[in-house]
This record gives sequence, C-alpha cells and structure tokens, in this order.
Amino acid sequence: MQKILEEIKITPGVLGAAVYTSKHGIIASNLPEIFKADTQKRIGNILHRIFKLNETVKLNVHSFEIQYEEALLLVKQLCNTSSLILICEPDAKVHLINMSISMLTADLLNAIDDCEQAPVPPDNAAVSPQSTDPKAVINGALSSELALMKRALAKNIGPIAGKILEKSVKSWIEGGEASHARLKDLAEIMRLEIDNGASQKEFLDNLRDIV
Amino acid sequence: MPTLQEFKAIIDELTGIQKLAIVARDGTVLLHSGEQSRSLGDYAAYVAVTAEQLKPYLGFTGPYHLIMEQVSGDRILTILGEQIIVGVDLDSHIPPANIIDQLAPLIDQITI
Repeated sequence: MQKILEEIKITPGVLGAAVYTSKHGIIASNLPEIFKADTQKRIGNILHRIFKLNETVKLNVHSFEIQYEEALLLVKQLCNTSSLILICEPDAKVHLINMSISMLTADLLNAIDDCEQAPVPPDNAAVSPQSTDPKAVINGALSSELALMKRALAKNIGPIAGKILEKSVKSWIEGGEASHARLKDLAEIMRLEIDNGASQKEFLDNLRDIV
Repeated sequence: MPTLQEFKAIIDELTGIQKLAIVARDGTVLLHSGEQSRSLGDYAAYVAVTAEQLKPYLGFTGPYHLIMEQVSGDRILTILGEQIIVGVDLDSHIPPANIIDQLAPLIDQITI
C-alpha cells in the first residue's frame, strides 16, 4: 500500500497521502513528517466523519476538498470504513490528481483487508440523467471498478484502452442500467475488442475479483 | 456592501444553482431557497465547522471553501465568510471555481 501512496505522491501538486480506516486509524502514510502519527489519526477521524453523515442527511458525497491558505486537502471515500487523504499544494490541479487517484483506487481497495463493502450508490444513480453519458458513468459510482477494467484492457491493447472503455460503456448502458451486477456484461463487450484468444482470457482473469 | 437579499438576488442570476442556504457562524440559518434548502444550511454549517476544527492539527489558516462531490456528479459548495457561511447545491456541469470567483469576494463583505 505504501508503494501505491508513493505513486500518488509523484503526481504534480501532491505533498503526501494517507489511508485512514475506522478500525485501525492510519494504515499507510507518506504525509509530510510535520504531521505526527497521532495528529494524522485525529485528522483522518474528523475527515471520515463527513462520509458517515451521508445517511443522516440523505446525501451521497464520495469525495471532497477543503481549501486552506497553505494547502488543499482532498479526501476520497474508499469504502464505508476507509478514506484516502491527500495534502496538496494550494493551487494543485485537482482534475489531474483525481485522474491519478482513480487509476489506483482499486489497488488500494484490494490492499485494505478489512474494507467493508464499497459505498453503495443511491437507487436512483442507475437511472439518473447522467447514466446515459458514458463519461459520467466512467467517473460515477463504478469509477473504481471501471478504472481497474481499463487497466486490464490497457495491458492487452495499450493506450487506446480509454477510448475503447468509453465505447464499450456506451454499448453497455444501452442494454441496461450501469450497475455492479452488470459488470460481467461490460467485461464481455470489452473482451471482444481484444484480438488474441490468450489475451482475452488474461483480460478476464484480471477481472475475476470484480465481475 | 450587499445585504443578504441583494446577495441572494445576485445568486439567483447565476445558472446551475439548485439550492442556496446562508448560515450565520453560530449555525443559525439566515436565508434559504430551493427545495429542502434548510438542511443544506445545516450541512454547510457542519462541514465548515469540521474544516475549522482541523486547523490546530494541520497548522493551516483559512479554510476558504469546501467542495463536496456526490455520486450523481452534483456538488455542494460551501464558502466561508467573516460572518456568514454560504452553501450552494450546484449542477454537475457547473465548475465550482467560477462560482467561487464570483461569490467569495462578496461573502466577505456581508455583515449581519
């Protein structure tokens, strides 16, 4: 997990990151040393509370940012019991950082042993107006899973994987709602974009944990 | 120096804002518009207090604003002023930076 945080830290504007879980506190961190272990735990606890508030206020906040004078705090909910916390330069390019995180979120989730189920999207997420837009679906509730699928595809077809994912998602949502239960159908659509039979099998093997 | 009503009129002119709530620093909802916007005021006050609560641990000054992103893509923007906290519920296609640039200078001028 530490290696993943180091990858995140390479992103321009990121000063450090940490993973907080409700049960164990900070389980990995490369935040600047000025933040002692106890302080990091307290910060993680306070930030994670905002996600716990979702049920009470009937919101589905899955990430947030807080702008301070000296830094920008980015927080992403990994699952019901864990959060990824990033401290960034105050003028960091959030879009760029979010792209980097989205590619690594699935790996982080796999590395958290006791992660309870991922945040459940609201019932209306699947039928929201955005669900007809492939890009909105790719960046929506299933972003972690779709990022993992894109990476698995990229291993076989290279940098055009992003475009193929978008095209595949478009076909996929034409056939039904964008839900976790239908990821297998999406994997099948994506598999057909790979020419080689052995590569197709490797692609599906890589997705065994999510479809 | 705009009054709260004048400030609301400015916000009403902006597109992509579904709800608005203006809250005093003590959590009192001063003004709200849009469906269930009173709860938006409570939420904005809570996250603003949380951001303030972190200051001694982080050693930072501010905070200036918070952007909460929902699964739907809609965002809740909370801007902190000297005396008030403003919460707005934004459509997913509206860049929060544009709204912050327009509202933040005004929010600091409002006194209650």
